[in-house]
Amino acid sequence: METELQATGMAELSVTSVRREAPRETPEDVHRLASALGWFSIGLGLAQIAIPANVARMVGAEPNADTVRLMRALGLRELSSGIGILSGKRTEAWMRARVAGDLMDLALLGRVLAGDSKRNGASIISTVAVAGVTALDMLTAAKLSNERDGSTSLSETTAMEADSTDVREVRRAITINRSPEDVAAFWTELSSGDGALSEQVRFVAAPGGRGTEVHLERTYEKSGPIARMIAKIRHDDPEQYAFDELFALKQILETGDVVVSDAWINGPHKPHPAQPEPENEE
Amino acid sequence: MKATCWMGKQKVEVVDVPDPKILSKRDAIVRITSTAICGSDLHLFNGFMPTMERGDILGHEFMGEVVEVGSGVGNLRVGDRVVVPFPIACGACAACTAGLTSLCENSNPNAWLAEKMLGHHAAGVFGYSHLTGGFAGGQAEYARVPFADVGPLRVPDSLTDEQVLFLSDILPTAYMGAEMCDIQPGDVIAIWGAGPVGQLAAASAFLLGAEQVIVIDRFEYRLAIARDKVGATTINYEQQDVHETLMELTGGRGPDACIDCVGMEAHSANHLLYGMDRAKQAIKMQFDRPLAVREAILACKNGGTVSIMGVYGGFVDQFPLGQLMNRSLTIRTGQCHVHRYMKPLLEHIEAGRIDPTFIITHRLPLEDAAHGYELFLKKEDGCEKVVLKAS
Repeated sequence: METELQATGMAELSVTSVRREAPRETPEDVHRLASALGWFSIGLGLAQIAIPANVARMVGAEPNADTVRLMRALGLRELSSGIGILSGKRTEAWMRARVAGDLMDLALLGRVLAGDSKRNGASIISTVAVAGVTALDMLTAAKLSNERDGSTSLSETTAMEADSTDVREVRRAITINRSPEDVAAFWTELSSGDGALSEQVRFVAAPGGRGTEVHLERTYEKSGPIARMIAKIRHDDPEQYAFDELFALKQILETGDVVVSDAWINGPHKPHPAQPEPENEE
Repeated sequence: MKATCWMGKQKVEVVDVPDPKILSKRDAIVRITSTAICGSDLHLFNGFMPTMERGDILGHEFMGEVVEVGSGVGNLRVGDRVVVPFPIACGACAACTAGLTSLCENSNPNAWLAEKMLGHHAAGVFGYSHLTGGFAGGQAEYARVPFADVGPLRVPDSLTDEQVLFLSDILPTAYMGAEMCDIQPGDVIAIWGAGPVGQLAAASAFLLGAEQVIVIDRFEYRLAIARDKVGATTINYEQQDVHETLMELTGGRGPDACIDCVGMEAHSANHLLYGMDRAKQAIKMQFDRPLAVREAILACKNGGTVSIMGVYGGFVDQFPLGQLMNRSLTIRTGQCHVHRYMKPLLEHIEAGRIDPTFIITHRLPLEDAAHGYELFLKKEDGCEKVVLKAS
């Protein structure tokens, strides 16, 4: 990340950073996996359209006229998401379509299992298989989405910024009881940039001699709903990250340390009861 | 070490847990000699405060002997006898430098969640849910005290534990509640709740020059303490109409200031009103039962002050905002900024102007903490305040 520290006025300093390199490896594996899942969709879709009764028997359903019609419809769905994934455009969205399809399949299998079928064994095996594929699909979609967060080149950044609907803005401000110079100097030491597309930090003297207002603005490429959900669970949502980073900056500058409690000693990922940690967990 | 842990709704147990260690250079470890069960601990006990985890060590009123200090604590030495204030405060942020230590901007590691729930976050607190930071509490044999260079107050050996223990919370809390009433000569102060904070608020109001103090509760034994030990006038709300009696006692003006020392689990003589609030609380339509504060607002004289020291957690229904606005009332409230009251109140205790020991009714060993909670909750055996002897 390149940073530029400049005095923009009597009492204001600002740091502007634009990420120029990919922060993480470009995971070609993810794309290979997505392609494989795309081809799998096409294969399954063709089978469902061409030999619907056989596929129905395979999953433990009665191959009657209704089932055959449903199977052909599902085949069309599989074909379209397969073609979508392999087209290379909006791969992540097509992967999410696959996830939605998987969930639909799981629901249908659930109905088959609940019904009075002699082929429950086949249904159970199919359900397990579909559940496995669903997990793989979700993981791939999430990885594609995560990868987008970090791997955008500068030219893409500019393009992204022009189209504000694809950019997520995170803003956060905090007041720290120290001079703008002190805070700015320490910020450049501390901040990691969090893989943002762009970052601007302004250090403004707070009115009434109350130290320094730090105004942080970052832009991220918008991530999909699954990636957002996972980020929330893992406590690495950009908003949370901006909060934590500014809070730590304030704590270190004002108190000399980051404050830990018994419950939060291992960070927000692993809270435990508010009692001292056992020796062996150190 | 042994520690009193929250094990679920209405369940506490004294169990063995690991000893605390110094985690930061500004920490100290205190071997606890005396600790107390606070009325606000009952809100945790009853499961009304969110973000409690099974195994959380309870307790925020404690004192003891310093047994270890971090390298950054220059003002304490091993062997010092200290009382620890319940809010954890860094002493350096804008709030702390303004004396508002219960609003310390740095001491709550769970500030993110607290901000989501409260709008802004407040200080970390010992043994009081994960929302206030997830710090292990002091109903235990030992406690780690963060920012030990700021919080703990050294107390002279000439005073007993019981004389100074309540400097940790309820005496400063009660005193702040009375101080916020800006008491003038001739003032009549009404106090809802004859629990430990209510009793000490009544004593503080007299100390600050109140003409008359009226204490409202439903437990006769508690009202008797207020009458006999503090010299207050009392109203038993199950026998007398509170509003009517207050108007009678004040020539129709209403009390000059009212202090709510009840909080989120209030009861009422009006069973219908109580039932509605209890139901709304049960289905999470509201966080607290604001029965006492409602009464206080309606009773307070025009232009008077309502001081809220009872603990509340969130949104409430049927709050008398119009009454507040149209009658120019002032609301003052806050978790107590204990640090700024400890020294002046210690001087009051040393000079014999206030002796908070009159509220203690039960002294139990730490091992009997669960029994202490039961007694305090059910108001059994004339229970007013339980002190636990840890060592």
